[in-house]
Amino acid sequence: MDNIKLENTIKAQKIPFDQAVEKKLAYLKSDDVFSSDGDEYISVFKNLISSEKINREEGELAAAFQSLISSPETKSMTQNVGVSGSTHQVEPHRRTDEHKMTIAERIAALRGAINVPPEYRRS
Amino acid sequence: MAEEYIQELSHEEKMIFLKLFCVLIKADGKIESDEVAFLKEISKRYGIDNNVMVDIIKNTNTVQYIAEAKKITNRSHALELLRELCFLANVDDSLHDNELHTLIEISRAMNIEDEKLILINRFVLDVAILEKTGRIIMEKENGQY
Repeated sequence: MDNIKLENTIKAQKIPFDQAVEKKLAYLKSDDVFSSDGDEYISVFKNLISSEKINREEGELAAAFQSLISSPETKSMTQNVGVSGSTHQVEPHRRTDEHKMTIAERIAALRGAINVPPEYRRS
Repeated sequence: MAEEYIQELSHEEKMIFLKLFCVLIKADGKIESDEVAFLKEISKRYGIDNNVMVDIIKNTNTVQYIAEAKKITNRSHALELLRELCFLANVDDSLHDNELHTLIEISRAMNIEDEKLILINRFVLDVAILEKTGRIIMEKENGQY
């Protein structure tokens, strides 16, 4: 960087300290900060609530898969996922098929969170 | 955060840091009480004896000491040194041209980019302003709140 530009940039950063502190205090006390903080807090809470909702949905999906896989009627449909018996315990992170997709990945794929390998996509 | 880097410095690096603080203090041709307080406090944090510090100050040679800055090859340590130097440069309300030239010379001797120096200086100023503002808000210091 050019010397003069560098010096001018650094000099411009320096404003009287007390003035800078007053400015900061005024900003912190201003209505804008209070209302924007309030809006921010509300949106953070909303996100928390919606992320809890997503976690519940994930749990519901996992439970749905579990009952699907465990159901005797669907046993033949689940040959590819290597289920050995109707009472098997679902291990979400176990690789259950030759294409190496775990149950957790399948759940995520249903939610559109990951790319589904072509062999799993519906035509 | 500020104390952690001290544990990593070698004795030689600490000595170089202290020499460069002296160079910066000397740069504007006057010694402020805040600057002396800074030196006293930092030499204590570095575990350097008062007598050694007095020797460093007495023998301050700007050209020689700045040349030693090249020995700071650890980038993280170099950035910490710049942070301390920026703090020292801004400890009073004025930034003398010679102080600024010295700061830039030291930064370049350590191969730190000019843009990084600008950021560090900004960061140091912002921290100082926020700390003071915080003290006022928390009523540990007088001011408008």
